Amino acid sequence: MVEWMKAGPSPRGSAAGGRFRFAFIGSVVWTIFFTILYSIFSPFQAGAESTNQVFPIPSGTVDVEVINQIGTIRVISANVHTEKVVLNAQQISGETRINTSQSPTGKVTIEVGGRGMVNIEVVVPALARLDLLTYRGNIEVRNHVGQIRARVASDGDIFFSDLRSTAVEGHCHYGNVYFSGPLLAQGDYRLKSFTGRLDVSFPASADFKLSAATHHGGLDLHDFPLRYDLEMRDIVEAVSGLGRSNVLLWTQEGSIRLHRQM
Amino acid sequence: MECKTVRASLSDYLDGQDSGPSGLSNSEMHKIQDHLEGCHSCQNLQLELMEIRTAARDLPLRTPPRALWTRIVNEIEMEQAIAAPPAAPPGWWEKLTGLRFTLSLPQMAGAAALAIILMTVGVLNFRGNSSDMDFTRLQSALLREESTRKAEIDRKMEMINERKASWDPAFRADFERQLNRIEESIRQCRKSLEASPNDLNQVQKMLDLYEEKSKLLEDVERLKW
Repeated sequence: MVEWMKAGPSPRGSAAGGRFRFAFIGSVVWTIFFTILYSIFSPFQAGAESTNQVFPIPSGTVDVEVINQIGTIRVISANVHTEKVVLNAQQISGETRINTSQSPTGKVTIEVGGRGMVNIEVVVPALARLDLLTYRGNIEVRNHVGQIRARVASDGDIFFSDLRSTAVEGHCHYGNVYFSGPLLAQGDYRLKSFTGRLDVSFPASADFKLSAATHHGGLDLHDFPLRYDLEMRDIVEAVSGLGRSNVLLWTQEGSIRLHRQM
Repeated sequence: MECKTVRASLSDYLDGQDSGPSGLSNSEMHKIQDHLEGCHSCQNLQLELMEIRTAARDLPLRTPPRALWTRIVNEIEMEQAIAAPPAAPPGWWEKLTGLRFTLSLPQMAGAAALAIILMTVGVLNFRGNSSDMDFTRLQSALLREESTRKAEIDRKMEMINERKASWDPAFRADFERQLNRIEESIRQCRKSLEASPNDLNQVQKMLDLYEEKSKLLEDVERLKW
């Protein structure tokens, strides 16, 4: 081909060579252009490494502990009878290592070490007991049935939606906590944030005993017909319906909003 | 006549002076009168009783409830029934429980006044003690809880302080900022609690803040920086 390109000039050959060079340079330019575009708009930045792992588990409940440093933790609740935990982790930046282990009882531990950002997604059986912690980043749990403990030690929000769990604890320092969904009888729901807001919505038929305290923020609880046992500017104890589940809302500096789901 | 006998009959004597029949014979009345003329201590007692009677006369008239009359009548009937059949001589317990004090109206009024005063003082005193007791209990519970939490927090802090130097400077600064914020809130809460030491809500706030601090340290331990 080089020989052909170096061949003597002929009007026909010269025209073909020009077109070829044009096409070649064009394709290189387009390749570079698309590569740049992809690296900008891709969900995973260039250089991101992904880790995928499957942990077979015995049927029934299993403990899943996830500890992240910086980055999100997202839990996808699978069928109750699922007999595996699936980890999909995407290392976004920095130097991190993802340590995983499984105890003889089946408990799965996923722990991020080092300094950097990792986004974690775990698929778990719906009845798994979750213990989630990240220093900075959001935590998201939907449609889960098992016990949940979610903590953001510094900055990040917690999102709980459509849970069918009887034990839910969500706590963050600077971030907000969002809860949306039904409450189960005998359930215990504890949502706390030091500086953030608590935004909670239950169905109109929700039946709960409420203990809400904010020391510097506002309390907006008017969406529910509550019977107050204690009603102060910053502390409220009240009951809605028969008070069959316990709801604790606490924030030191943020506000609390309780509203009915439409 | 002895002082003891005169004092026992003094109320009847005064009744006799006031309104005639008093349960004392004329000779007894004279004997008491003679004794009183020569005995200063019995005279003093007589004067005190007379003062009580005078004060009692000024008291508003109260009609006893019907139930009280029924109770009194029942008691009298019971006493009569017990007294009717010849009985064995009573033992010391029966004597003690069977004691009946005959009090005249002024004596009853005096006793009632005394009882009311004692009850009032007792209630006030009990209330004061109860509030003090609550406060003391509250304070000691808080101190106990606080010292437990503090010990736990100190232990965690010690472990963290050992490792803190190796942390990422940004993380370290962030952590210290968070900690200071919580500690500042604890200080504010303590001030409020000093101003109103019986405020249970402040106590709860304080405990919540200790828990917050403890949890932060726990999280940092778990993050293994």
